[in-house]
Parts: sequence; structure tokens; C-alpha cells
Amino acid sequence: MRRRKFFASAVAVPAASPLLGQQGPPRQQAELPKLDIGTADDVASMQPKYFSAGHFAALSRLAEILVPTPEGGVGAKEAKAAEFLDFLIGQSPAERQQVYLKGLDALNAQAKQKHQKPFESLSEVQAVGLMEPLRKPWTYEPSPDPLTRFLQTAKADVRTATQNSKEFNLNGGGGARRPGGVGMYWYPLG
Amino acid sequence: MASQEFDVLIIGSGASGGTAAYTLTKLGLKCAMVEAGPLVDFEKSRGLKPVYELPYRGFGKPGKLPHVFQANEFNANQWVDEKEVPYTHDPKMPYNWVRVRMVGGKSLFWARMSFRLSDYEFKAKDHDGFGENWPISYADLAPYYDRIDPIFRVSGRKEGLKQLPDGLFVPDESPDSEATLRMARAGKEFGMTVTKIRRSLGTGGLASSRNLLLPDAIATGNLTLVPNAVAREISIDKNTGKANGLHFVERQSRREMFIKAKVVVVAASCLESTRLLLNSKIANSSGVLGHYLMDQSYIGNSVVALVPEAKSGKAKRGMVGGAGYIPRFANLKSGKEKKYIRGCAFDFSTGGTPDAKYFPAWGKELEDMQMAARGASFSATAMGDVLPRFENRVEINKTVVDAYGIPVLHFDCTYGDNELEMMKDSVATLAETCRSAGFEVIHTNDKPYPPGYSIHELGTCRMGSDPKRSVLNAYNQSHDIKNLFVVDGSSFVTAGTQNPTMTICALAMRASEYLAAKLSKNEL
Repeated sequence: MRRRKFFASAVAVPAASPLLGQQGPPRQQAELPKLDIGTADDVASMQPKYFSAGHFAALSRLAEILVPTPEGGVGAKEAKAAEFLDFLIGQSPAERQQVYLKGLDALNAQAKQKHQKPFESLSEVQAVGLMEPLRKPWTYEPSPDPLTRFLQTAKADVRTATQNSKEFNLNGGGGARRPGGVGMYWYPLG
Repeated sequence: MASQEFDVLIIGSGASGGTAAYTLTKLGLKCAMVEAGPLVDFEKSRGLKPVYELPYRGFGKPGKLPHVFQANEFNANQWVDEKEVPYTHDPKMPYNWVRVRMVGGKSLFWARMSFRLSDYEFKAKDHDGFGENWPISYADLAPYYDRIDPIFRVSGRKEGLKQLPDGLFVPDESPDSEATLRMARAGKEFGMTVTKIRRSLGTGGLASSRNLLLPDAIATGNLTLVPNAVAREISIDKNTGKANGLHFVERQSRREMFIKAKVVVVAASCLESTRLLLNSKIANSSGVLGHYLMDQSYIGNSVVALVPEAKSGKAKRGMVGGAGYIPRFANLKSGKEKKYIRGCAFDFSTGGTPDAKYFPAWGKELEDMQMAARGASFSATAMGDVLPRFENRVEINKTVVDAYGIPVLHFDCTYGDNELEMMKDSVATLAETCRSAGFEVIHTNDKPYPPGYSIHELGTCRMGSDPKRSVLNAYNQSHDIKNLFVVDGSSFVTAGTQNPTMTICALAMRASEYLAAKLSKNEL
């Protein structure tokens, strides 16, 4: 019995001792000083890379019309909504990408057909004239018309991208509009 | 300890498993409970964050949870990862299977709407001739509803409605808003009753197995709760033909484990329970396991309207605000008053502001329109009774396994003409009611979301008197294997329009008491 106990402890010691030796006696955990940090958006701007130059220019113009800059506030332009959507749509499933690509094609095609200019170069009146499909009632089932579907999708996406931006929220929600706010975030479960 | 045999093994820790544990442990039975997910510490698992700190500005990572429309970037991690535990369906027949794996299951996140089924559901075939009756009636289950209601602290207002039996309520004596009263008056013409939403108050803002059932079960000293145990296959003793335990995978280490028990209670949630039985190749002498998949056909914002007197923030005190419930109102008198059978219910709220998409404008004009509608909204969610049809089913996809090597489910489910016609008529009737009440209807939608959206999946392991046409008997006991019980929503014979949690709990309690009585007599 004694002999068995001896072997048990002889086996246990070498496995544990080197690690204990390295660590030394238990110490109090060092308290790390807090550091103020910035974010990428604080110091840099997003580089559009998904949409073509023509598509991105049309989307930027559309975003500024959908959510214009209120006096002293933040609109799609200040929130860099188009740049954010370039990132988001670039990572999205193909179906969502097609909604944007076909819609932007349709928007530019109509601009060239009616005004011989791309959408981003149209006057306010001309641009708004091409956005008339947004006067149709929203329906649960997406419109079969690519331009209508795109405009309805972009209207919602640009508003969300704007209202949930840091610029919009730190500006107090742009006047009367509701800021994205604060939510209860679930961390990944272990 | 490792070779200990428990009296009862409970698979799943949500509303049904929690009720089984609560009941069985109080009756003195030694129980083990396995749960696929972790025990979550809310303090450590969640934290407040501004939306702009999220990588996708609240949109969520594209493609992460393609079937979970309830997910957003804040709560994305609370749902089962579809890449870890996938399922399959024909792309043209989508099914939204929404799952939670953590101790407490979906009862951690449910809307807490707490209704009872009636004999319109239990004896539906008697009423309209379709499908099967349940092998039990409302009278059989009422005593158990009466014991579940106080645990969950269900609030409500008694109405004496045959189609929505009253419970033992914490009385909801809040006054109805003027808008609600107008709806109630206008709805009478269509046979509608407007009542309070019946809701579990629970404690501390939570009405879950996690805080209302499991603590009591553990306090008996009779429950061993084991999180992170992913059920693979129920084991059958070749000599007796009885269940004798469960093979499971320890989630974090992926070790293969086996636990022994005299009785097995499956409460893994409707479709996980059926998946486990199908993968175990048991309890299916009837051939109906996996069939008769139902839920409630669901349309959020089926009718959106404005209360004109409340526009521009001019609502007088008591004009709008609060929520209400319109129980099923169609086909109550005879089997088929309409072009369809059964019916639809609505819950509604008043007093908010409709989403921007309902206004055909943009820019400043849109902002002005939303401002004018501020506080004047009426919006209703529709939930329709989906018929039990053999062809709506799940089966094992033999070519796809999850991250644990367990074969996944394939869905074959779609709504039929009855559901589509029911939703169309019901939404039109509600819109007409709104107009009669003097509201301005600005949007209607009568197209249900894809099946599964309501997160009320039911059936696929249904109960019945005939072992050739059902999987379980009237006590949720397998016809084929006497010591095997399935106590969740998979046992439903009809779906009804009512949120099912209270019925699931009542059935689980009833089955557990039957189980304990039989076990004490060595009859399992």
C-alpha cells in the first residue's frame, strides 16, 4: 500500500514541477492601465471597392437624395452611407447584390435615355423624376420591376446605414429623427 | 457516478423539459437532464453596445443566419449557428427553422403569449371533418393548465370564450384604449372579440424554464443538469426493446458519451425531438413520424393603419397605447362558414409610428409624413391555423451532417390553399374592421411568411388513439416503446391559432405524472 502511494507521487511530481517552477510564487494580477483608443473610422475613410465607379457615383447621389443633410445635422453623405453599403453589399449573398446592380443599371440607363447623362450628373428635379417608383405602395412581395425593387431596398438600407452611423448618433440623432441607439449585445457563446 | 442509472433522462431544458423536470423531481424521481447548449450567465454573456460599434451597423453579418428573420446584429449569437447545425430544403420551399441551444432553450426569448387550446382544436375533426381529433379533450388538460398558469403568472382578462378558454389569471385590469374599444365595437359585426393579450409575467422580466422551473427541480436534490450534451441517438436494449439511455456528444471536447436511464423523456423541441427519433430509427411503426408538420401561418404588420385623431401627436390621454388580442372568429358556429376551414387570430398594438417603408416618399417629405403619423399607429400580426397534412414533413438527409457528425433534417413543407385563403379573408376582414372603426388603413399584406417563421413548429410526432396513425398515445408515451415519452410540441395533432407554450407545459406535466405513476407500479 505504502509502495503504491510512493509511485503515485513520484509520477505526479515531474509532470507538475517544471510548470510550477517557471511561474514562481503566486502573484497578484497586474492591473493594466486603461488606454484611450480610436477606431478605424476616426482616422480613415472607407475605400469603395465593390461597386464600379459609375454604380458608386449613382448610389452616392441617390443616398443624398433619400436622406438629405438637415440643417446642422447628419444625412447619408456625412454618415458615409454609400461607402458603408459598398462594403455591406459586397459581402452579401448574390441575390441582394443583384438587386443593387440591376437597379443601379436601370437608374443610369433611364438617366441616359431621358437626359443623356448618368444619374449622378442630373439636376435635383431630373433625379427625383426618376425616383417616382418610390411613390408606389410598399408590398411584402418584392416588386418584379428591378428599379422599383432597388429603390425600395435602397430607401430602407440608406436610412438604416445613416441612422446607425457613429456620425448620426453622436450628433444627437440629426434633429427629430430616431438614432439607432444602444442595444443588448450577445457575445459569442463559449 | 459515471455508471449511475437515473430513473428518468430528460433530453432538453426548455419549456417542456423544464416542466418534466419540475414535475418528476417533486415526485421523488432521480432525473438527469441533458441540454445541447451551455448554461449562460446573462451578466457575462451580454452587454450594452451602441449600434455604431457593431461591424455591420446593425444590419448583421450578411448570410450568417439566412433563415432567422428575428435575428439582428445585437442578438445574432443567441441563435443556433446555421453552419454548425444546418438543415436542408428545396430552395423553392423555404422553411425558417429558428433554434436556441442554451439552458432554458427558446423559453428564454419567447414573446410570453400564454393561451389555452380549446375543443375547437382538440376536437377539430368533430367540428369540420378534417384530419384527426386529439385523443384528449380540453377537460382532460384543463387541470394541468390550472397548475401551469400560476407558475408562469399568466395575466389576462376573463371573457368566457369557448374558443379561448380562460385561465387562472393575474387580473389585467388596465383600461382599454379608445382605439381598442372602437376596434371591439366595429369587430362585433364580424364575430370578433377583442381582449387583453394573455401573457406570462414570470419574475424579474423573465418567464422561462431557466428561472421558473429548473431552480425548483434542482432544489429537490433530484435533478442533475448537464449542459453541452448534444444528443446523437437513443439506445434500445435489444432484449427488452426498451430505451435504456442516450449516446451524446460533449459539445466542447466532442467526446462520445453514454448515459443510462430507466425512462427517456424527449423534450428537445419539436423538430429536434423528431430528428433524434428518426436518427435513432425508433418509435415509427406507424410511419407517420416526421409527418403532419404544422405551425401558425404568420404575417407581421398584416394591417397597418392610423388613428386619425391621434395624428401629429394629438392623441388625448387614453386614446391609443397598449396591445390587444382578437381570438379566432371564423368558422365557430358551423364547420365551414367560409371558403376555408378553421381560422386566424390577431394580436395588435396601438400608439407607435409606422415604419418608413409604408410611406411613399423620401427625404424631408418622408420625415414630415412620419412626424404626422407619430403615435397614431395601429398594427396587427396575423396567426393562422395550419392544417395537419401528411405531405408536410421532415426526414433525415442522409448526405448532410452537422458539426457533430449527426445527420440533419430535410424539410418538405408548404402552405396550402386553405391557409392562403384563410389569411386573405382574415386580413381583409380586419382591414374592413379598421375602416369601420374610423382608422386610415395604409397597408395590408395577406401573404404569409414562409413556414416556420412563427417559431411555433408543431406535430411530426403526433399523439393519437390508433398506433397505426400516431406515434404517441394520449399521455405522450410512445406506442412502440413504453418507457419513451415525447413531451414537446411535436405531439400536437392540430396547431390552432394560439401560441403553444402553455399547452406544451400542460401536456408535459400531465405526461410526467402518468410516467411517475406507471414507473412506481413497474409498468414501464
